[in-house]
This record gives sequence, structure tokens and C-alpha cells, in this order.
Amino acid sequence: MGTGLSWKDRYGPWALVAGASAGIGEAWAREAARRGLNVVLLARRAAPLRRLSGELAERYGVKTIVLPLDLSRADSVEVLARRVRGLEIGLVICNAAAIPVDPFLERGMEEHLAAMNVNVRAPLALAHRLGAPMLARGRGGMVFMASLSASMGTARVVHYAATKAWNRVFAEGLWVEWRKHGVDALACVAGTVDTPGMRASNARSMLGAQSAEAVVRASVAALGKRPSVIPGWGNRISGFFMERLMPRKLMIQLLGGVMERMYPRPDVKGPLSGNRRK
Amino acid sequence: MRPPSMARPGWAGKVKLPEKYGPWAVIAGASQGLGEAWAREAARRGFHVVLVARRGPLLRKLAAEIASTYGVATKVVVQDLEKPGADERILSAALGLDVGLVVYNAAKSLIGPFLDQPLASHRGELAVNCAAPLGLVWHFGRLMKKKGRGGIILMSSLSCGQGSPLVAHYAATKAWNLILAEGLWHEWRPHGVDVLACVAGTVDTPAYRQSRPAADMKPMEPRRVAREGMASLGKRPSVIAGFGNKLSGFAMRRLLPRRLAIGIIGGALKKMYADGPRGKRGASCCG
Ligand SMILES: NC(=O)c1ccc[n+]([C@@H]2O[C@H](COP(=O)([O-])OP(=O)(O)OC[C@H]3O[C@@H](n4cnc5c(N)ncnc54)[C@H](OP(=O)(O)O)[C@@H]3O)[C@@H](O)[C@H]2O)c1
Ligand SMILES: NC(=O)c1ccc[n+]([C@@H]2O[C@H](COP(=O)([O-])OP(=O)(O)OC[C@H]3O[C@@H](n4cnc5c(N)ncnc54)[C@H](OP(=O)(O)O)[C@@H]3O)[C@@H](O)[C@H]2O)c1
Repeated sequence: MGTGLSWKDRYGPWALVAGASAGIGEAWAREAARRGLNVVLLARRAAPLRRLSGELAERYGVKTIVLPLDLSRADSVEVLARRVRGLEIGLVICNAAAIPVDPFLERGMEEHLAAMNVNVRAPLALAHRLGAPMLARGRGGMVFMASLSASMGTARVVHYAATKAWNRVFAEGLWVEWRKHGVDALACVAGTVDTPGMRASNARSMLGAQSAEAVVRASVAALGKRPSVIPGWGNRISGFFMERLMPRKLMIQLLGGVMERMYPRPDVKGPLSGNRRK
Repeated sequence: MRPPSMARPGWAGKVKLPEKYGPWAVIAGASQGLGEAWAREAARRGFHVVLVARRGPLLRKLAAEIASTYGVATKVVVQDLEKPGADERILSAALGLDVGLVVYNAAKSLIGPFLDQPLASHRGELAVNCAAPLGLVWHFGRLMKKKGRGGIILMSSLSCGQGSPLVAHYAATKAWNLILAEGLWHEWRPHGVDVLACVAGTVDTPAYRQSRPAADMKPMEPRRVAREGMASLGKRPSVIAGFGNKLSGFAMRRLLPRRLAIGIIGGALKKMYADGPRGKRGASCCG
């Protein structure tokens, strides 16, 4: 937080972006490189990471490391820590996520545990392993991706929403604890964002979707200033409405109905979507 | 939604829960405090109880007491919920029992700055507070959905309404439980399975007393939390136990700007643990 420090001095020289091969993570990697940070690019698929790495090196003249890694593995962050040993990482973007869209029981336990590893266990370990050196240096930033769908229980993405609630509350708690040590934690509470992941989910509507770049811009502006940010006016208004004005039970029912219409499953009965497609 | 024949009026003019959901209740984290209160409340309502925790002697003593007081059957399962596969071992221990109610009450609560505890302890906290309930909810939920009846209660905490320093990770795990339960409430309602997040403020449990908080937080009696929780099952997705807690939950979540709420709870927790928590075991006393 040191006054007068440039963005690069505050969050550099290296950034690590988990989930950098597409969508919001890719946009974060570009933004970090544009601001002069070297970037560690992490995701499972090496090919898009290599493409991005070439682009960043050429356009912004920064160093990059391509780190293909599956965060659903229990030991992934240990592997990561070995690979980045010696690098001074000042910015960590915990963005990778498994996003199963289905009624809870349609996914097996294996898959739920994998989602927990990617969405919760990995950010927990990243915060611990990469947060400690930042606090020792007295500067740095860490962004956790949360979601508006985690304001309350949400049908079709029940477990995903729970993991996103974890990220939000975790980041906000760290924000207080780490601030006095010069390290900025931030929860980015995104609404619908137009990303490959979102498109692949076959949502029936992407009404009001933001661009990944807009989400990153809002996060950069909020980092160090507040514990959490909801990018976009429309999302802030609907967040206010959902969390503060509506009775919780009614809101869960309404949101559940919206989700069931957005992701219809003809074989699964839901109170609102019921037999709509039969 | 549910066959009306099940809604036979019985005890105190109310539907008997074991008839509505199934005769056996599994209480995870039952050896003391709130878990003990859940076990007694379930037995008082007529459930046979499966008591799960690490300390066998405490569980056996409680089981004997419950059997003689309420005349229900009991079963003790000594199991560390931090261990991977705990959910499956409990499932097989309960094999053949018609389980109608699962209460997940166990929690590990690390108090203090996040980085003061080793990563391994935090992973343990995640295992007890999230991975184990995930497994139990999945396994028992599947059986209940098939039978078309059942109830599941997950414990959450007021501290998860926003980020909470000194219990940053614990509060996050409790947010996970709240949101998971609420989502399942909606998904499983049409199938006759009721899910509830029971959100507690400070509760007067051994863990709470052991942590010897400096400030008096007027903790609630465990029995009252369990009663209100049980009475709310099937009526709503989540309940904040206690009138005072409902008020402060309302203020924190709906009235105050989030940042201010985080500041207030941070201040309260700092005062509560002015010279750090003093208990040996982790305690959950973070309202
Ligand atoms: N899009 C939205 O509407 C929206 C809304 C709210 C919040 N968010 C949050 O924003 C973040 C990014 O979302 P997005 O829409 O950009 O997602 P996306 O397009 O699906 O991209 C997800 C990224 O995470 C990586 N990833 C997934 N599983 C991984 C694993 N096991 N190990 C390593 N990397 C993995 C993916 O790369 P590989 O496939 O190459 O591994 C990809 O780079 C997520 O945390 C999401 O919860 C998104
Ligand atoms: N007390 C409060 O002020 C408060 C406030 C809000 C929410 N809550 C919630 O209420 C619940 C109960 O809290 P409490 O204060 O009664 O806690 P507690 O006194 O520490 O009791 C926790 C129970 O869980 C069991 N347990 C803990 N770790 C376990 C493990 N690894 N494997 C198996 N069993 C384990 C303990 O038994 P063993 O030690 O014998 O294993 C004990 O029976 C928790 O979910 C907590 O988050 C409490």
C-alpha cells in the first residue's frame, strides 16, 4: 500500500494467473502484462497457454512461464510451488474454477471432490503458500473469483455457488488481516460474464453479460480499496435487490426458477420448470 | 409434495418427525456442546440416534443416557471426520438403518490470523467443515431422494454473513455450508427431502468456554439452538437461531454496507480474543 509505489512495484514483478487459458483469466493475464508484470500462466491445456504466452511476450515484452497443471489434483499447489520457487510473485489471481451445471446428485462424488479441489482447496493453498512471502515483503495482491450466484443457495449450481461463497467470505476476511501488512485481498463478485466457459454451459440466456475485460478493469480499480467488488452497475443493483431487499426464501425460489429455465433438464422435476419441455 | 397420509398428527399435535422422515438420525459431531444437544433433541422427537465423533467414551456415555431417558435405540460410531473416506465409513456403519435425518454439526475452528496456522491445519479444517458434509449429504441425500423422504441439517454461523478476520477461513467454510444447504433446499423439496442451514450466533458450548473469550457475547443455550433448528426444518432454507441473532443478522446483511459490517465483526472478534484465543483445541465461538 506504500504511497507513491507504482502499480508494477506494488504487485510485481511476477503475477500468477490460475485459469489463464480462457475467459476472465486470459483477460487478467493480458492486463497484468500490459501493466508490465511478468506472468505465470496456469491451466490444464498447454496449447492456449503457449499461444497466450507468445502474444504477451511479443506485445508487452514481458517474461512468461507456461505451467500446465490440473488443480483438481490434491498435490497441485505443491507442484506449483516447486515450479515457481525463487520467483517474486506479487499478484495472484485465483480464477480457475470447475463449474458443473446440473442438479446436485447428477454429478458423482468424484466430480464434486474435484470441484472442491479446484474452487476451494487450491485457492486456500495459494493464499497460504504465496500469501506468506507477500506479507513478509509487505506488498502484493490476491484476487479471488466469486459470483453473484453465491449470494444465496442456487439451484443447478448448488455446489459451485457454495464454493464461490467460500471465496467471497475468505477474501473479505483476508482483506482485513492482510491490509495492515500492505497486501491487498479482493473478492471479485461477478455477474454473468461472456466467456468460453459461460457459452459452453449452454445457458439459454446471457442477458446483461459483461465482457471479461470489464470485469478485470473493475477488479483492478477495486484492488486495495475495498474487500469485494461487484463489477457493473446492473449487477450491483441486482445484488442489492437480491441480498438486501428480498426475503431470502422467496429469492432462493425465484433464482432457482430462473436457473431451471436457463438450464432445462427435461428428466428432472423442478417446481417451476417441471414438465415444460415434455 | 408429500403423501398426506404421512402427516398424521401425533405428539403435541405435530407431525412426528421420525414418521415423516424415517426412524434413524445420524448426528455427526455429537460428543459435546451443540452436537450433544442435537442428539438429545432428535431423541426427544423420537428418533433413534447414530452418534458420530472421535471420542468414543463421551459418545458411549451420552448414548446410554439418551437410551434410558428417551427409550430410543442408539449406535456409536467413532470416526475422525477429517480423514478422507469418513463419509463412506459412516454410510456403511449405518447400513441397514433407515436414516431419515442427518445433522452435520462437527466443525474444526481455527482462531487467529490465517497465516499463523500451518496449511495442513487449514486443510484439516476444510476436510471437517466442507469435504465430510459434502460426502454425507451426497450419499444420504441420494438414499433419501430415492425413498422420497428425509431431512438434512447443516450448521452455519453468523460470522459467515461477511468476511471475518481471525476466523477468515472458518467463516468461509460456514458460508459454504449455508449456500449448499439453501441450494439443496430448493432442489430436493419436490422430492420430499428437507434441507436446512442452521445459522448460530455464539453458543454456550465447551468449545466456546474453552476459548475463554475476553468479551461476554451472551451465548445461547445449545438446547435452544437445536430446538429452533429442528422446528425450522422443512419450513425454510435457513434459520438464524435466536431473536437477538436474527436482529443482528438482519442489520449486518441487509442494512450495513458490507465493508462496514466486515469492520464491525472484525472489531468484535478482536475484542473477544484480545490476547488471542486461550483454548487448546480449536473453538467455534465466533458468533
Ligand atoms: N463466466 C461467468 O459468467 C462467471 C460469473 C461469475 C463468476 N465467474 C468466475 O470467474 C472465473 C472464470 O470464469 P470463466 O467464465 O472465465 O471460466 P472458463 O471460461 O471456463 O475458464 C476457466 C479457466 O479455468 C481453468 N481451469 C478449469 N479447471 C481447471 C483445473 N482443474 N486446473 C487448472 N485450471 C483449470 C480453465 O483452463 P483449462 O480448461 O485449460 O484447464 C480456464 O482457463 C471462475 O472462477 C468463475 O467462477 C464466472
Ligand atoms: N459455539 C458457537 O459459538 C458456535 C457459533 C456458531 C456456529 N457454531 C457451529 O456449531 C457447531 C458445533 O459447535 P460447538 O461449539 O458445539 O463445537 P465443539 O464444542 O467443538 O463440538 C464439536 C463437535 O464436533 C466433533 N468433532 C470435531 N472435530 C471432529 C472430527 N475431526 N471428527 C469427528 N468429530 C469431530 C467433536 O467431537 P470430538 O472432539 O469427540 O471428535 C464435538 O462433538 C459447529 O458446526 C460450529 O461451527 C458454533
